[in-house]
Amino acid sequence: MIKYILSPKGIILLAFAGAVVAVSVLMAWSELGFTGATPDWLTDLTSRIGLHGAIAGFFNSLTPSLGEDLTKYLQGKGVSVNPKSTASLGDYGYILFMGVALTIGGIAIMIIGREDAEEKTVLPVKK
Amino acid sequence: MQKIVDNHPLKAFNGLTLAIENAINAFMTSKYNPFYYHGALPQYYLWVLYLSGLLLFAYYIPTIDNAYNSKLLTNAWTSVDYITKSLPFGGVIRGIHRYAGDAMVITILLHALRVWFTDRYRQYRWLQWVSGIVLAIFVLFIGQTGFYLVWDDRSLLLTRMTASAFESLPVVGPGLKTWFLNGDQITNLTLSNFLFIHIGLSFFLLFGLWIHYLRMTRPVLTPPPAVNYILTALVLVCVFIWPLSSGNMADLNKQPVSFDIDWFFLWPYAMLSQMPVMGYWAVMILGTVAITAAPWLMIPKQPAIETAEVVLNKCTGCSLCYKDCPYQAIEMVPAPAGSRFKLLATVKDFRCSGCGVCVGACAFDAIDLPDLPDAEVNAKIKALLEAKG
Repeated sequence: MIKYILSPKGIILLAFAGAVVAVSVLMAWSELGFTGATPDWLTDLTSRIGLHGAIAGFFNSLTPSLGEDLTKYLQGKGVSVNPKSTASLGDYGYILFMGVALTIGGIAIMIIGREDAEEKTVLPVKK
Repeated sequence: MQKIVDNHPLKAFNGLTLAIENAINAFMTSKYNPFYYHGALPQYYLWVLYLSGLLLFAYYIPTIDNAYNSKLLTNAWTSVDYITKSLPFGGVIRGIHRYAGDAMVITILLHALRVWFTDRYRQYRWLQWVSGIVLAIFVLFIGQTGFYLVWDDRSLLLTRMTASAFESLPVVGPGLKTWFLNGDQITNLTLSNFLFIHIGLSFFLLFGLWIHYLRMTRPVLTPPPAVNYILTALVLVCVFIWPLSSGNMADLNKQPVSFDIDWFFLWPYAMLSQMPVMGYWAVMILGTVAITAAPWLMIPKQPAIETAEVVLNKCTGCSLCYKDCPYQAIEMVPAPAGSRFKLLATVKDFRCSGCGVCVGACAFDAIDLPDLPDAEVNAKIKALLEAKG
């Protein structure tokens, strides 16, 4: 197992897995409306394990750059949301990152399944 | 690899199709090559459409009540506006429903071109071709009713254009118009009818698909998960890049004069706006008839198919050939009196393509192609292997 993980193929797959996790985290950030303002239950939970500062800080650091760019793009495309509702521009960011995560995941599965897909012709050996 | 007859008019396209597929195989392998799931791709999008449509249906209200043109009223337009702007993930789900429909049209087109170019649309595949044409027309009409349901300026203009086009048809025209509008004019009942057509015909597609799969032993119904992920991702990214919005609420007292064309579903309306209505119907009807009749119009001269023949005294009725035949051309019938076995394989000549799969499936040398006996094929393979060393 360790030998497989340390092989070139294993390292590539780990990189893909890491990318899927990273993009999936961005889905959560989008759902929060491109901010680090987490709901109370998540604030409480992440505070208990001592990670709230890091998580909120990471999300907040993305807000002025990526968050603003996404917001500007979507508003430029005519997306408007009811300020009184819980729908937000983040819904669109969510599915963008979900799409990216699915693409990376799909490519990773194709790499893993590649060997199974290759047809091998085995000729009977004369005894 | 699919072989095509030498004198087939589409031989060049067949070569091109296979070259593209081989190129994709080089980096995706045959297991994940989407061209090998070309029939399953539109069906995957059909499931996406069913699911996203179910979520939209929960909040859609099929009425046109806008006597005061107020956004405070509850009608089709305001319900779509609520879904898009106020419902969590509502705009996204609406976008998925729209772009999955577009993707379905693209994949249907690819599917049709692929079977046409590789010569799999005629003879023993005529039923798939004809049922596929009918299904494609249904998909087109279902998609168009989706545009009516939004009930904005474009919906009103499309509704009036359709009603007018129907009415111009001789004999059946007035009846079709009344059926389409669910009355003599646009009312709340019209939107109810559109919703019924949109959803009812969608479920009718399942019945059409059942006919489409007849005579196919093992149709590929679902692409592998990795391909599904990519198919889904394509739709999601489109939703982000081109988010949906509606036009102004339809006003029955006004007549919109132009609208944005969706080239996947609304191209017939672009035609209708550019030609006389009877000319439009002539082009649409004759075009549909010509495409439907393609399997019979485009048959090149070629030798008759050598259908498989069962060697009666060797058949054990094991059903292996019956299970393996890709065209359901073999039927198991009760064995004649006096036989040691219960069943006997029989070949339906009109479905047999002479592919030889049954010959390979039979463990008892009980089925053969008359002009290409099993023993002769084995001898050729043996000679080739020996020549190769």
